Amino acid sequence: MKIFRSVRFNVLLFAVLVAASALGTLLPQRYEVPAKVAQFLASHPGLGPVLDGMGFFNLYHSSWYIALMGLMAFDVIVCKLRAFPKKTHDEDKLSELLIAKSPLKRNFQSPLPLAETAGRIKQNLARKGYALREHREANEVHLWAAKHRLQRWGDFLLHTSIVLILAGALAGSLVGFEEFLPVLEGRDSPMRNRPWQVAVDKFTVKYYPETGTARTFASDLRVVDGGQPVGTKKIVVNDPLDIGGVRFYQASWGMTGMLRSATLEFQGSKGSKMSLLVPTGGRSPIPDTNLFVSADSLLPHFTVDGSSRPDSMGLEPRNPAVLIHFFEGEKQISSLWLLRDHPHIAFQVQPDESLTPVSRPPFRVADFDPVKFSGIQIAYDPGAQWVGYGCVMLLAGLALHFYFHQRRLRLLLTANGGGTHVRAGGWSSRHARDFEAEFQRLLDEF
Amino acid sequence: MGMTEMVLFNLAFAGYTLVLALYFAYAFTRRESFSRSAYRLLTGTVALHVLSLGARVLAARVIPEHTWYVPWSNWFESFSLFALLIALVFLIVQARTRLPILGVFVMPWSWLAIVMALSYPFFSTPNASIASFGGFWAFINSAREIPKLAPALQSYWMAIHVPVMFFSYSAFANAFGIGIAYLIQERQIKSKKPTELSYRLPSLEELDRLIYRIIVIAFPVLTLGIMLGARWAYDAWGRYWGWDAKETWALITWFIYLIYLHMRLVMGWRGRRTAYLSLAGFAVVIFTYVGVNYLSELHGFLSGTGR
Amino acid sequence: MRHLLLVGVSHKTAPVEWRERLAVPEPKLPVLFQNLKDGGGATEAVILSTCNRVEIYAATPDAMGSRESIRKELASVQGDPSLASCLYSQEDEDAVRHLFHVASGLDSLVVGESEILGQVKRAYEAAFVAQATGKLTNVIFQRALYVGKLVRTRTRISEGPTSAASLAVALAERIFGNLKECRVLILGAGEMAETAADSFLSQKVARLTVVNRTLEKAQELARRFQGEAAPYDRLQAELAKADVVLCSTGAPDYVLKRAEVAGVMHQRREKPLFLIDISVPRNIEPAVHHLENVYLYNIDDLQSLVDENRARRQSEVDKAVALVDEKTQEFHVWYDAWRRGETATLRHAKGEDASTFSADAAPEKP
Repeated sequence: MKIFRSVRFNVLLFAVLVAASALGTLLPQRYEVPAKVAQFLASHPGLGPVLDGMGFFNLYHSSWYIALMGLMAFDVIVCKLRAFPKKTHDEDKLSELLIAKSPLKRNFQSPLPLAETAGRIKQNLARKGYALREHREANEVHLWAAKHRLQRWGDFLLHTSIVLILAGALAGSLVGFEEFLPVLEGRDSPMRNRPWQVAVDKFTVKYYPETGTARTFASDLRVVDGGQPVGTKKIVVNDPLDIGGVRFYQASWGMTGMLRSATLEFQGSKGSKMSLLVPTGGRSPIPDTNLFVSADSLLPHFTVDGSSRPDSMGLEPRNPAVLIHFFEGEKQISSLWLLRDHPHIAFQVQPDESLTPVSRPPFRVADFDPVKFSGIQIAYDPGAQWVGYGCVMLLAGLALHFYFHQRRLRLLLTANGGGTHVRAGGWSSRHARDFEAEFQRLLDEF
Repeated sequence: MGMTEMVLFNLAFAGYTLVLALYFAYAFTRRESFSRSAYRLLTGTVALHVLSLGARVLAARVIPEHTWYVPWSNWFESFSLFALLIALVFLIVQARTRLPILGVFVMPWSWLAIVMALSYPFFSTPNASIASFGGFWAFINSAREIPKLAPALQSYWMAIHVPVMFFSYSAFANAFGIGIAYLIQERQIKSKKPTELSYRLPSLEELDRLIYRIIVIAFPVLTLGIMLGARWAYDAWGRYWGWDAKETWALITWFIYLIYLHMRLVMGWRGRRTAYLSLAGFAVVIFTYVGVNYLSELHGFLSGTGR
Repeated sequence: MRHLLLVGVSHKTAPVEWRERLAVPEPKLPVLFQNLKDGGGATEAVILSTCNRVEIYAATPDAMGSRESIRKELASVQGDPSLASCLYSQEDEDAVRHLFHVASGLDSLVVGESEILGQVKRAYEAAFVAQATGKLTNVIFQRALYVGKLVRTRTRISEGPTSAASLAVALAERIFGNLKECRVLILGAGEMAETAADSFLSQKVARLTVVNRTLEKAQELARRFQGEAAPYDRLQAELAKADVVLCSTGAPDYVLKRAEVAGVMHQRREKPLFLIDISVPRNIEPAVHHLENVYLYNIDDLQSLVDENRARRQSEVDKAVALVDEKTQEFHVWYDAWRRGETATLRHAKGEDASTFSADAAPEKP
């Protein structure tokens, strides 16, 4: 048991946690980048499975990591259980000997009589925020003065809060859940962790004109429990919907690859610029020709991969491209990927599905209406509130312990001729050197 | 207003450069006039820098989404804030201790932060080819444009969490510089051949206590900053702690200084070992600030998405 | 037409026995000032009398005549006129240069020592109070104090302690800062311990403890320094409480070994410990120096640093002399102008307070 109370051991424990936590950021983690984990396992056939077995690809939720945290909580309890600040019983009476034991002491003579000196000292100290206690005897006045006594709670408070935080975190991870639910706009999807339907009635995205990146995106959310609505809100990033502790966040969005329509521009047979709206699912005729076009799918961030196949680098429309099929009568004659932001180049689909570039295609896609999905993150963490309380406690404890200093004075006043002899002793939780200046200054005022 | 901001910032940069030169001049010549001028100039430079931040906010308000815009929303601005706060903390340390020789140990980091602010484009786009000097200048200045905030960053938490974190980082930067001074002084005395340098530097105990006091004050601030970050994550991403690289390394930073405090207060360790720990702590601070962005895109400014 | 005349003796020209007999004790100052005026023909005078030199700087219309009479007056102070023959004299520019050299510590036994500057200042103040100074001596002495300070700032001539004891104190300050919180432990109680302790206690320290195998000896020394004594068996405990340890026992082997000191450091929670081993042979095992936060200097270490400092001071002498020459030149320009009745100003160097000072101003604090 003693080893758990040893500070050396705990410092070692912190060091191990540091090393383990760092390791988790250097190795790919499954819940974040599962593809990279697979890659790692593939390229390290010997080491990979060993690490996997030890839980290194889900390090922070592995049993040994949680055990380390648990050990830390246990150690804190064991170290600080008996550190509850006791009510300090100051002695009943002061004596010369007692004051002489103070780390800082000073004696001086006041010309004023006992009662007046005592009164002045008390007034001065009270004004400075000291709590006072007094005891009188025949020719003596004993004074105890203390300030910032609360500071002694800091240590206990901050250590206790750690236990609370870890407990809250554990409770949350055991009882709570996290779920990512992509919902197509205008549709709904069922949740896994609750028997609810999550509907996105409307999804809005606004873009920065210059860069084309998203400025803001929001969903009109409606959560339904067996027909009964349980919550409705327009959620935006940083502003979730809270239904009894289950929170719905606007986490992300993307394009599904599905289109509703595309708008094409081209030079007409008569030489003028023409615009044609092509709804998905059918073939639209090109005026004055016997050609038809259809616009069937979309890649939001078009790129050509190593084997000349089309791919998308992400779900946001950084480089949108629409796949257009051309028909002559019933026969499909060609297929082209048209890039909205790069109208001078297109990619023709070959019979083997590979792409060849085509410069200055006669058609360009001016606009398109994609089917978007709203990325809803759903989370329930009943421990979060307790972790919050723990954090407040921790901050209070740290502030008390480090930013405040207790100060204690003992003053023994004895009547001496017409005046008063004062013996003063001082103690502070501050370093004696730093407190001394204050101590002397305080006494100088008397 | 954009022009004003650039001019003010450039002036502040010139100011920091001159301050650094003055502190070095003081270190080599011991003329008090240099250290006095450095202190006064630094105060003025910090004021200018703050004004430039204010000008930046005004310039950014033209975009309606930027109701909560604060001038530390991209790399340029965050490095700029870092430099400002290092200088500010240093001024406070100077006011309390009057050890101008520390200027050569602390102010280089502030200056370096500004240089990083101006030159980060080189780090983020290493393959950029720059045709001419004009191109070079345009490239640098492109980093100084008001950023278009990604939705995740459009929050009042930005105004609270970031400066609190940076304040603690700046204090640790000061402790780092002073730690270097400590190690130099310690080597001097241990070598049994102390040179004049040893007499110019403050005593070991003074340096050690100063480092300790700075860390004691900065540690609760770091704790607060991490908690604010967690609170923000709770509103933005659905969980208060997700073990992403930035969060994890911030926690590692916290642990390093926790170890320092336990060693110093409870185990009573002093001297070289704790000085090394303060150096390690700052190295981790830098990794948390800059290094993690090479690990993951989640928290990064670089991708601009912030999930 | 006024001249500046210097008459005096220093450690460079006469042994201490003769200097002793020429020294001017304080009670005799007023009489000497008077005599210099009456018999010496001096309109102004300043008397500088220290253990290493006795010099009189006087302003007089008749340099040659005054020279002889002042020599006699000085020698007569202690009633031995025959000593007049070992006195040197300088005039005008040479006298000024000499004074500047003296104030800069260039004429001292230990080059660059700073005590002399205070001594010059006090001599000047005493003369001012006795109303023995005038325009010329006012300007010259104020300028000398300025030059003395300037030389010490601009060159490294007064840098680095030149005695082992003061070096040890300086090192302690490098470790602990202000020594008033320091607790000093003296281990041993011989003469060397006493001397070393002397210099340490010229600084105010928080506590002094003496430990010796013989308790009585420890108590004796402790009494002298107003400290405490402790018996030898409490050595470990005392080491844990001390910051600076002066070790000078007569023991033939190591009194403090590495293991013991390591244990003490643990007790002291690694607070720095400065050990000064001035015994021969060494009493503290050298390996102790390699412990963390322990700094062990023995007598050789201290001495080699002292030698280094002295050598460095010496190497700065050329620079200092050049600076003094420059300042003497400046002064000469002013002096000429003043003698011709023109107004002139002497400025402080750039970077310092740029103020001119007048010949009638009261003594400045250097």
